[in-house]
Amino acid sequence: MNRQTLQADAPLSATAATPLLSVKDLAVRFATREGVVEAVNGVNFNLARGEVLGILGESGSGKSVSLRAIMGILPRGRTTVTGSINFDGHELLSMPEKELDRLRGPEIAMIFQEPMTALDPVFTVGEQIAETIVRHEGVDWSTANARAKNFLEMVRIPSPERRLQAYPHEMSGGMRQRAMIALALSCKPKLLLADEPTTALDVTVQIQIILLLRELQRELGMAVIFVTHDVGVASEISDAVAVMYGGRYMEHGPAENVLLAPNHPYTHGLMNSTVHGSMRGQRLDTIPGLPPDLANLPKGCPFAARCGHAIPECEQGGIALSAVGKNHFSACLRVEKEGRSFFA
Amino acid sequence: MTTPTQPAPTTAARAPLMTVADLRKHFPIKRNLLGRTLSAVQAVDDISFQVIKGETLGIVGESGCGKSTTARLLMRLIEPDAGVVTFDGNTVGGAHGVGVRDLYRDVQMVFQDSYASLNPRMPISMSIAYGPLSQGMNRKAAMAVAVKLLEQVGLNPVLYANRYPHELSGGQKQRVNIARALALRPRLVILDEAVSALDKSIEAQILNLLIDLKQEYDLTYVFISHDLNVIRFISDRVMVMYLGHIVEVGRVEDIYARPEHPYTKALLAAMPSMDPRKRTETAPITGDPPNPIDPPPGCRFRTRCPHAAQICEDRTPSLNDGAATGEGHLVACHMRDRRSGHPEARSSGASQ
Repeated sequence: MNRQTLQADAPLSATAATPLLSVKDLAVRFATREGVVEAVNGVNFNLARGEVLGILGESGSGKSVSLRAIMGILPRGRTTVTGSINFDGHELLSMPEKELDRLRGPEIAMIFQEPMTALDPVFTVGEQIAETIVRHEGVDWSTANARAKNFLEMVRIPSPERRLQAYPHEMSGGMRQRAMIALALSCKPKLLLADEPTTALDVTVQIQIILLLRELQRELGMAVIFVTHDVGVASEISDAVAVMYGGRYMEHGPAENVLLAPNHPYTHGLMNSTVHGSMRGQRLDTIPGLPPDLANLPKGCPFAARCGHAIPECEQGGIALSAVGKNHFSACLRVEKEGRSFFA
Repeated sequence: MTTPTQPAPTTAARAPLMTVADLRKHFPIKRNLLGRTLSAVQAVDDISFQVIKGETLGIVGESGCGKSTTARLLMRLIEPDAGVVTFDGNTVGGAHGVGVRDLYRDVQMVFQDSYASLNPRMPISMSIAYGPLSQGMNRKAAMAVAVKLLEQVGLNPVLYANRYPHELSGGQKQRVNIARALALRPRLVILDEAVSALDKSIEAQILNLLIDLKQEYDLTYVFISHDLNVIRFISDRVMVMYLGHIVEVGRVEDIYARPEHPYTKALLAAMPSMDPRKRTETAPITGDPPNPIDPPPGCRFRTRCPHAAQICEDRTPSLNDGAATGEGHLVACHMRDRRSGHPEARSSGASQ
């Protein structure tokens, strides 16, 4: 018990020293025909080296957009990204595209829900991995090919020699996901951004991919931000969990604290409406209403309209994360004012 | 508790509403010059089961297991290659059977894609009234049915009756689809991944709604999902499918507390833990589900089963080989049949 607590605390307390990634006041706006969509609205967090952060949220919460902002792959022109994203001493938001290209791959890599978006259908898996290694590390092709085979072995693809010659469409969903992970890790990045990489997989394959990512994360000592809508997946992979709603962090802290003893009314509502264990026969305690319209966000707490604990001040604004425990933060005005959680 | 002379008190309630016998659907994907099938997706392969009046039968399995094909066969959206479906004692289809038009009065379906199942050019009240109108109800009465149902599924008719599908959220559209399915006062509703595309907070609202409506309208559900948590929450009985076969069926409490088939065990063990302190340590099975095109002969799970033996390749296990342990708990595994010759076979019913 004690040891586990220490393990969970260690990466978080290290953030105070030299975070690998430091995100401040991150905001993302999209110009659309319907108006300005405020997808991310002031996200702040630090990520330590080797830390796994799970970002949990429903559709439209801003979790994927935040990840894409860090990777710098949001559509240009229509998108405004403000704030600061500091990665290992580099300010990413003001960095020229050419320099970003040198970071993306060797330093920061990304995996997606649908591997076909990351894999090129007209090249074999082996060619794609080897090309990445040649391009970023300047080694010759035969060295790169040998390394590519090692990477396929590392992600437990059976008969890797043969699989190097395979095109992505010739592989099953789970194998393709493994190939994409091999491609992403081929330059041993310090930070892996994972956007729902197990969501499209069957449950027996999903757990294999989660265990694989956990193992590779430990082996390579890389930090991971893992975006998911699934509480169980977040629980399996994360050291720390951040819960997003309306483009903001509602709660952020060690996985055990956030998932088992949530502080914020939204996290609490989300856990109650997630069917699990033997809830059969019970009436689900649901969150009433619908998520907010991101083109027409309220001034204050985005959750206020659905929250059973809301007071008039919640709609006035000035909602920010405040500490509610060791490395545990919650963005609830009432918790902050009254200095207690509703769910203790 | 009940003596042989006294019928079990539940007998009347346990009458089957729908009976499925040896249902089969293969989708040919390659033919030779003479039109003979060379290979086929064996989506559903000789399955038999019953849907009991008033129950919720959950069907669970991974992609390619045949659960959605089964739903479409029950609804007669596709014609089976073989097998008989009877609804309330009457054979469905064929020269003398119940026609689909009559079947749709009693059996309705809700799909995963809430947008694709509504006519985008029709106000939602019209989509709901469409069924009763097509079955001969007059316009005024049909619209009254639609208004009442909108209210019952939690959409204020004053605000929503004249809206079009694109003006609604996913959860609201699914409420409309449920209302539309109920407009003909069916007795059986087939829900095919009906909550799978919804966010958790909306999924919970729809699950509560389905439970309320089931009681109110005295419905029977066939609830198909890949989500083991949702299946456990809503089902009375659960049927587990793998590559076109039923591998296990039983009461929800038996399936989740005492799974017998190695596949069911693996499926349950693969569910992510909701407690970060109790994470999964090892994957219960490796590899992906095999391709449903020309699946392996014998037991279809044997290529991934840790207990596979020669007999599993030689003979396909049937659900009826071993006696049931719990009430109606059936397992298609040679290990459950002492006479099968499987080295790990044990006598049926003798629990560990």
